[in-house]
Amino acid sequence: MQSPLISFRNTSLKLGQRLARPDILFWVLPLMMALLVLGTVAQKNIGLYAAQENYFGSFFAMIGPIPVPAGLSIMGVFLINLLCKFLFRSDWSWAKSGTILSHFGVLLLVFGGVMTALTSQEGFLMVGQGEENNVVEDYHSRNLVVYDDNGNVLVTVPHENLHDGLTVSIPASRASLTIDKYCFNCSISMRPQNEQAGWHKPGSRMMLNKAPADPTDEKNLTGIEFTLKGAQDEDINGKYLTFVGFPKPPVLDIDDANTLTIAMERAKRPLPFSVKLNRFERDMHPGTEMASAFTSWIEIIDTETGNSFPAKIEMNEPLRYRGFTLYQSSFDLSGDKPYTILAIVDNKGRLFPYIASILIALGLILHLGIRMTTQRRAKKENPKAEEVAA
Amino acid sequence: MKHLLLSIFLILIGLSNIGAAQADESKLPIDNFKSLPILHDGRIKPLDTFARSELVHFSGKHSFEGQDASVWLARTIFDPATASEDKIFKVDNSDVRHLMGLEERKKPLYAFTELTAGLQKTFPTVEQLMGEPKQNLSTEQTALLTLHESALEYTQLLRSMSLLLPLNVDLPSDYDDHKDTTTYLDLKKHAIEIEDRIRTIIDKKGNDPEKYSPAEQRVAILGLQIRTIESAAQGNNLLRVIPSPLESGDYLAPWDLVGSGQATWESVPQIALWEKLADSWRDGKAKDWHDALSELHDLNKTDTKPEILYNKISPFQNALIFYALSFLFALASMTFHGKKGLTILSALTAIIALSLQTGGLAARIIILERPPVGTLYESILFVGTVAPLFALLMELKLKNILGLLSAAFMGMMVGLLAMSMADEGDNMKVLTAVLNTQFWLTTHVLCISIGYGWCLVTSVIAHLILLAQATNRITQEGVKKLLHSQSTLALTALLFTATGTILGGIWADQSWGRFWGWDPKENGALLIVLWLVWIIHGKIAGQFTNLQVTMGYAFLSVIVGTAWIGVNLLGVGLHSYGFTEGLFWGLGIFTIIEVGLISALALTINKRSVA
Repeated sequence: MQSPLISFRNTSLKLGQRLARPDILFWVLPLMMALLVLGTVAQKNIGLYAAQENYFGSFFAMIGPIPVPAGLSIMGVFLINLLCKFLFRSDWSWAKSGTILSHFGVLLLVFGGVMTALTSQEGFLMVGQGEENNVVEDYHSRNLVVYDDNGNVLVTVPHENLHDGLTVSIPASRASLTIDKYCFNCSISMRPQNEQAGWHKPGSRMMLNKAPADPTDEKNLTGIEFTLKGAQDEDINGKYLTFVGFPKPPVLDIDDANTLTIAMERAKRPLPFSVKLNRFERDMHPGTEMASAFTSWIEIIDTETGNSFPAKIEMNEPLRYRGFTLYQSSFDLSGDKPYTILAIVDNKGRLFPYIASILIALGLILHLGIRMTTQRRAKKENPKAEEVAA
Repeated sequence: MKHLLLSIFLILIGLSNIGAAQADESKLPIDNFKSLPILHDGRIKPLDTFARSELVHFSGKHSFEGQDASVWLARTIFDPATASEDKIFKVDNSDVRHLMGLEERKKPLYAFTELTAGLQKTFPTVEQLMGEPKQNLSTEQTALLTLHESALEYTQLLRSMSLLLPLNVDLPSDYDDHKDTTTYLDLKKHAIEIEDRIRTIIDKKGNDPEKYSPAEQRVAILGLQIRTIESAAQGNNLLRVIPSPLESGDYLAPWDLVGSGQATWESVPQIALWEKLADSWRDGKAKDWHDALSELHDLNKTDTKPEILYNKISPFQNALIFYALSFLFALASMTFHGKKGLTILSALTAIIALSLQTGGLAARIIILERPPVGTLYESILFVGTVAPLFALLMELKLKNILGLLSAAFMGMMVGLLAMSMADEGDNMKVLTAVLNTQFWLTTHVLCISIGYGWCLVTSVIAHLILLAQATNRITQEGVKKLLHSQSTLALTALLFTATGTILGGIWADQSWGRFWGWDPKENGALLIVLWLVWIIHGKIAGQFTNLQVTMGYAFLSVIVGTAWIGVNLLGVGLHSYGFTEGLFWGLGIFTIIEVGLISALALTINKRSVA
């Protein structure tokens, strides 16, 4: 009778061998290609971000009413198949060294992709010339945030959880707000005169309307119309509105002790250092409105480490510091002073593609080289090669 | 655009002020004029390129009634009254012709003077259309809008030198310098004084010109004429031919120079020389023309000769002809069982074509001072060069004419694609900030383009294998050898496309902070890699027969076409070039033909093997 250890080893080996079967890859690849085509074509209508979420970043995608395996499931099967093939079915010979190296490269690439998906955080930092900032705003996540009069956050509700009829209680008070209308993408219009009763300014003049989501996620103007109840002063109770980027969100004295600011804003997180913009430059191709280069001359001010140094960030030339990478993403020259917009990325899996690409390329070159050498040797051994064309 | 109607109206008035030239154009050599530098679309180029692109933009042709585009340009800027009668506006759309009230012609080409009434009539419609998103416009609405935009651009050209051209004005004796001709610049010297006099007259006699004396009326009319010419020239900055005295590398249009107050003592000789050019054109004085051009070249040190040569040789168009010849010789050689003379001719013509393309690419690198691929069109030129090169290298190894045939066929097909994809006129573009990087244009872009090239060679060879098998013109041993070559080609294609795709990811990581963003172009490149991996692994694992593998490689042409060009049609993502209806249908028809052809050949081979 086999020991449990040997039995486990044999079963694992058997399972690994089965999972490493080439026919799994043979069926996974067309599925991957089909998904790639579907997800790409879908971008035309729903935009890149939504297509990425629906097709590539989920386990199942809906095609009409039918659920089909999506990116995560297909990539999962692919990864298991490749890993098992690598471990249990590799021919560890010199002749196959190129293939092994390439397969290992692909494994690293996929592993790096998983790590990036799990750990990376993206956002942007907007700094005016001469100013300093360390608050990164998220490109996609929006929150309903209630601040007290000291600027402390009392309540945060992610936009995914917002819906019509949701009631949000304010801690340490009797007040609550009920969302009458939530729109992920709002259009703004004048409120008709006969609907203005009960509204506080500027909601009495303007109204938010639910609009279809814009394919470019960042362009969606997320907002709410809400009713405040429970304020000490009855006049404060009533209807308000707020939305992302609204310069004057409602500030409400709900009782003698509390003044609340109700804001919709992009999710924020602090950087462990500050960025000061000394100068922003935009070079144009002469005689055109087309930019040839953007440059931000910044200063990193790191009070934690005591480091402070000037740096230059350009298109294709980011700055890397303390695991964060700062990219020249955009700018705003419409105001009194220039603003630079830097994309801030924290990605623990950043190095994987670099190593993987070297391994894949080396593996393929090695495989081709070995193949050609073998062919030449075979030709030498059998010099009577026949003519090809009949 | 908003002031289009006003501009056109002012142009017409302006034209009536400008005296018609009496040029004998045939006497004036145009070569030195062609090579004068101009700043257009962000780069300095010869007037020759500018003239061609403008003429193609208006008329769809590179020459006008047998005349060089530069002759047409010279007439347009130096003799606008005559030039406005040139029938250069192509109005293809019959609805637009009807709307504009244009008469039907065999060739729908019209002069600017014929269009003006229609432009005025349709302006209210155009004003409305301008507020609409472009994708909401119908074909005829787009055509109407484009015609108005072209007309506006043309009026800029007509007026670009008007400050140097003689005016038909009745000068009060106080301002008559007794010169043969009077230009705006002559009047400009007296402009302030004339304005003061008009103000005094109005203060004294009011706004009714009938109350003025004949001398006062002449002053008032002259003041109006000066203002009209100035208004019509506002924003006229298309013809940037004078180096900016203030900013190195920048060029200004004559009106821009005078209007912006940037004119300095350094720019005076330039203005004077352009005036001399205009005069000598008008009077047909070859010596003055030649002298003015020589002096202008001495002042402008920019060397435009490489581009003039490039335009003259048209390397890519001529390469197409040589590839066609090579293809015919290769076919004839096969028909006559590999006759040596025909094979050599085919090889020679293919090498000439390849040399032309290589020279063309080198010229573009020198002119644009960057690697050769930065736009979709340039990638087609590059792939159209490397794919035949790889096929010729294969011919060196196989020596069976199939490499020659493939090289010539791909040279022709990709060359035709390049011709259809060439933008109007000048296709040497400056790049946006993110693409403005020598390193990534050299590594990722060239690598992926070379990958496309290998893929095309693999596909063509696969087609030839299928064809040879279907027509029974190959032995089993021959098939075996070709299948081996095909596998090597596919592996090489995989090496370059996979490396190119990953390098693209690394570029994206450097530029935007993410290795992979599921952008359509990225997905397209990945699709090619996955397709190759599928076929290669399907073959290794025994899932595919040799015939199925060859079919898969043959279909690579459609996969490459979709990934390389098709994804741009979606109009989304970072590599989007917008939807082109012709391209969409072209790609669709190509796919259907390929599916039909590959299936038919496979069925024939199957039948033959069963029999």
